[in-house]
Amino acid sequence: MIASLFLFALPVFAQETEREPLGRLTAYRVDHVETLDGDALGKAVILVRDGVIERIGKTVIIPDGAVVKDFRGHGWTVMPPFTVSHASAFQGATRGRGRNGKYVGIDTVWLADNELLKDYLSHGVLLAGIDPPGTGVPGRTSVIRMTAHAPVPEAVVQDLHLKLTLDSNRSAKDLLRNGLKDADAAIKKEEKAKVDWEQARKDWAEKQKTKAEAEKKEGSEKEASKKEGPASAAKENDKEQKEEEKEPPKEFTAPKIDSQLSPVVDWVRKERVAQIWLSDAAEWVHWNDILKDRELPWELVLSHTSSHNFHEVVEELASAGVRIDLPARLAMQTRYTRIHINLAAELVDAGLEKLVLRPSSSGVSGLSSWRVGVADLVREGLDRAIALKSMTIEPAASMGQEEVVGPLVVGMAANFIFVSGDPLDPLAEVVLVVEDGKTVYDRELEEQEEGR
Amino acid sequence: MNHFKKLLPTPSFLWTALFLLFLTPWLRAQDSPEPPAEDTFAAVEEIVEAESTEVALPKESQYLAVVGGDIYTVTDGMIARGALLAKNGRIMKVGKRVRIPKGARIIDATGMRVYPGLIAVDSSGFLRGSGASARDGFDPFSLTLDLGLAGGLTTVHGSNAVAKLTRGSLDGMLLTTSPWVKLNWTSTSPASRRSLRNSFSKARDLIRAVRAWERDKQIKSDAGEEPEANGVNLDHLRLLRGEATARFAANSLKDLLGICDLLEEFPMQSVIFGGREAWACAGRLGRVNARMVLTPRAKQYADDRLNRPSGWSIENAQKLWAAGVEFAILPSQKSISTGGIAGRDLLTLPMEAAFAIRGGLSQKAALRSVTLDAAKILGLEDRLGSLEPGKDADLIICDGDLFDYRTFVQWSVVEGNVVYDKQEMPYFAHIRPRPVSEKILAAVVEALEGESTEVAVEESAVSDVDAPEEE
Amino acid sequence: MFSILLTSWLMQQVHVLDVGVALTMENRQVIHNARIVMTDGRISEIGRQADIALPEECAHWKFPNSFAFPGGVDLHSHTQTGGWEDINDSVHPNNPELRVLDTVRPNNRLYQTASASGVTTVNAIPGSGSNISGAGSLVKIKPTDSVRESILRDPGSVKVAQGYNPERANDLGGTRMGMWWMLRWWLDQADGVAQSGSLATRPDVSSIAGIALGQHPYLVHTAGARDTYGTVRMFQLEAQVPVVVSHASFHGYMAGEAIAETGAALNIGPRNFDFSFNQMARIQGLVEAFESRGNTDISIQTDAPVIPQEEFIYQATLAERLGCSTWMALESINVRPAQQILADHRIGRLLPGLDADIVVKAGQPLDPRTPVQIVFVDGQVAYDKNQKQLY
Repeated sequence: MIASLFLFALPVFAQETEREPLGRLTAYRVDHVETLDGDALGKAVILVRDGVIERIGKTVIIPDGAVVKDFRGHGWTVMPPFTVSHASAFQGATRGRGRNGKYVGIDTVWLADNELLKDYLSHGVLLAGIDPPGTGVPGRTSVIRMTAHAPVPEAVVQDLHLKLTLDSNRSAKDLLRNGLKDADAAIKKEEKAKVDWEQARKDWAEKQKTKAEAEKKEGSEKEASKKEGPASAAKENDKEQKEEEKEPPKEFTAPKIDSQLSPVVDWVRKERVAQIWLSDAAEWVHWNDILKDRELPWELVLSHTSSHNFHEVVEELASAGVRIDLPARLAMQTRYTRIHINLAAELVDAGLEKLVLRPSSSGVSGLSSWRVGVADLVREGLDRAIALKSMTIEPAASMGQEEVVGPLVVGMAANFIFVSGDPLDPLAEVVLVVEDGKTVYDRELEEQEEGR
Repeated sequence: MNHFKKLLPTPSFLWTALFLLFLTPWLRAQDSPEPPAEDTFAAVEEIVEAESTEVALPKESQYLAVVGGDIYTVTDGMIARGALLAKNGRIMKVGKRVRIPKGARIIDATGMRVYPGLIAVDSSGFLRGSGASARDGFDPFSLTLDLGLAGGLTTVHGSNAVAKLTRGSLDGMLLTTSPWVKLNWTSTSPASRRSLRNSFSKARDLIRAVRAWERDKQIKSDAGEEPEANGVNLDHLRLLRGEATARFAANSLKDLLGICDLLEEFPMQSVIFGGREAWACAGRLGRVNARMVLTPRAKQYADDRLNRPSGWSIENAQKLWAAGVEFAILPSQKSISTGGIAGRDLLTLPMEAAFAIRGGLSQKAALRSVTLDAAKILGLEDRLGSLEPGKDADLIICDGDLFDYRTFVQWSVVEGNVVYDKQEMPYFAHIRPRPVSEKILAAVVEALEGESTEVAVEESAVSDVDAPEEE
Repeated sequence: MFSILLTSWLMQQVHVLDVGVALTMENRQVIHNARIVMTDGRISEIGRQADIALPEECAHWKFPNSFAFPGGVDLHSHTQTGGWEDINDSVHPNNPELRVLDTVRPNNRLYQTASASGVTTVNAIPGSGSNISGAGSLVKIKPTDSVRESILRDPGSVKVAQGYNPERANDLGGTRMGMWWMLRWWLDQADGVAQSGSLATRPDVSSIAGIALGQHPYLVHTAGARDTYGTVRMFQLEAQVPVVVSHASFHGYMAGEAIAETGAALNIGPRNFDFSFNQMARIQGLVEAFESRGNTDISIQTDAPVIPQEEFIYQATLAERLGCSTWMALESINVRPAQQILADHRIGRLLPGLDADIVVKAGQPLDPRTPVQIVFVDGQVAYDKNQKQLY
């Protein structure tokens, strides 16, 4: 009886052991948390176990055995890591205009021993999008992670979105129009091939049936033909061989699609998202002229500089219902006025739900001025919560990396950064970067090492 | 007499009849566009904020009504305080009283004048690309386009394409390409003239041969094969057949007379750019039915060495008109200039025509030169250039006579869409700003005081007399 | 003998002009059903037809449905040669002793067309190729071959260019510092000569010494806010000499309020508006801009032949189109320029004793749709549309 109890206890023991293993348990005590899930938190505790956020809140009981990191008193803010949607600073190559769908962004980027990865990390960036160089249909985007070090750094995602660019002229529009046309043709060709193959299989099955019936008959006839001689038997064999040669493949193989066109076909099949880069309102009109009534998955990347005229089409942009990526700056409403427009705020007011703000320049200094740019937009009316999301979890969502960079909630991977103040304060610095519960960047340590 | 008295309506009948009579307009107004109450209140609120003077929004409506202004149709005189109704970008009805359907966008043009949109038969800076690719290169938000609209233009020819200034859209933008066949006919190149005449001769011979063959076909059984167009210039063939218009450029009397010679020998539709000395051969130009494109202020002083009339004349346009020659007017600068010098570019096309009026041209003729006759020169008179049912709803609403130097375009409509509002755009809003109409003011006051939320459209413009025909 | 008598009789031909409305331009006084009597080249009488008796032996002109107004006075014109020649010497940076008088072709073709548009006096000046390019002359546009007869006053003004052109030469005076230093030096010289009365020994400063004596003004080509105000400061406030601030283009109007406090004389043209500098995407009329900032002493110019001379009145038309008040536009073509050039005792208004320079038009003066009917200069017919319509 006691033995049976023991037997029962064992599995319980085992379970308890599993429930409280010797995993890393870290508790972070902080002054301020931007969870980006509802309101920000004041003094709070983040409990991380095995690289996952187990608890987060104002009153969290820290279990024994946890490593406690107490960062209270410095005025630091914890938030999800920054995400740079288009980090062109990594891209080394150039390419012209054309249909270059076979290329991916990571092709021409050298990650090994790349100092820029460290620089990005020290600015709190964990993920970045890499675009293929060139214009027209330059290829597919990739995603890299700043902590991809050993043994050979690789992209997190090789081949993600289809990049498209447009200018207001016939040849640029033709490039996209012909891309769609050729994609339609390729899809049609494949469908026709499939129909033909199915028909061929059907025909062959029919033939096999009739052949079987004929063979039965033949069986009796063969005995009769044996009397005729081996020649007719040979003819029969040849015929059989020919018929066997003609058997259509058991599996359907689609006709090969040109690798330059292939991602466009994916897009037309709605299996891939396209990102269209537009620099002014005229290009928006021409983009819609190319798309016409097609319902395809695409996102918008606005590539204006210090002046633009997107204010003319704010309502249309917002009601398109797509994600829109803008450079984080207050730009002027066209060249001949100095009236500044907060395009991001206007888009949000007009109903835009998915906003991404990227740095106007993606080099190291651009990363600092990125936060300044966003701060300007917030000061001039952009909602702060939306602004912070647009630098972190929204671009990550666009890359399909919601599980790497997301709002700081229970169950989320423990990826977050510590900023020495308000993240939108240009004087604040990133002091700590935590990835999967481990510290991957510590400013104090770095500075000590460099003897500052 | 008693019998008659019986027929007279009784007093009570009279009162009922009178009551009904008063009621009827109200009843009629019920099924005509009574302004929807809530929308009006919202519209009034917007007016308070935006200081707009439009009576009823919806922005997107298939119907557009311009009400209360003097309408210059060009082909059918002027309708004082009339109304114009457009549907889906085409003019449906123009008249003194027009019924306006519910949901129409209404522009109150009281005190203003409505003209067809102006046409520039040549221009630069509006279009990019050439011919059909001008559509792909179109910038529907460019400054040049905006200022062109502010100056009253709605259609321009340039870069081998004829395009409408469809702000913000590509719909209806490209009208046609290459409206003309360019011909080079000058007094300085006898060889090219010879080859041109030979080519036309060949084309004419072919036309005659074809005609003869067709006649033979009717009487003979064996007429042979249709004569082939071997070695015949197809453009020249089209010209002689009346399927295309020849474009010349000539300023000197000698060159103009040379063109008249050619046109007398080979009659065809033509347009001649320049025509500075055309006044000296106006009669001949009239007889060959040439059309012209003139710049009234283009100066070149007479050459005293010549023993014939020469030089420019401010009376050029008037003399040509008297000889029956149709023409369009262009300023010396066929583009929009923002450098600071005003009054001689496409921002002030009517001013160039004003100088033709100075030379004696009638205002009516001057209006045609920037509307219908310009459309004819481009071959688009079936669609543009006058305010008639069936034509495109391209029009401008001005705060005075088109050729008065103080007049500005208040609204521009292209393809039935309001594409320019002087008060909403920054260019000219500060110059003699448009006062908010009394009607709107009254509605705003009423709305603010919470008395009523209805805005009544002018009775005179609303009537069941001319119901628009459904298409 | 007979021809001499005939000529002298013709010379003393009295012209009487009856018009529907006469704009005297004197305190904005307007006379309806006016009669103007011209004797010996001057207006001898002006008033209502009912009040003035017709003299015996006169040429009686009747335009009952027309306006009469003083002839146009263009203070900035380079059409004296009939073309683009002889405008800039540009050898030395400063040549106050040069005179335009020697280059004038009276009644040249450009002047003839201008006459047909209603311009009766122009200030024919040298160009802006150097800091002080020479002295200009006030020229009457009338059908005469005699330079002497055409000149109203010589020097009319001394032409100074304070920026935006003299730098072309790149010698001393390549920056404004050098140019303005030299100008001050010349101003001092002129002042000294005027004070000491030693004009005979200094013929090189004769033209500008006259300025110090108030005989004629400087006409200064200047533009932009800094330079426009700078011209006012240097000439009007510091040297205290009469000056006409000419052009004042680009963003000159942005100093408009400060300039208004000085009451400076502005001569606006050829540009009519600013778009590049206001940065509000406005087509900003320059005359309107100055007027709304408090300036009242404004005249118009063409810088002919940059703008054709005959479009002088059209410049005022455009100024009103772009927003300035009607009277401002009307006064900018006659009375104000006459006052600015210190010749308002001779031209610019329809007053007894002033020159009979009169334009008659069957329509509003600034309306380009109506041609000029007839122009009198010094009491004689200078242009008659019935002979041949030139414009």
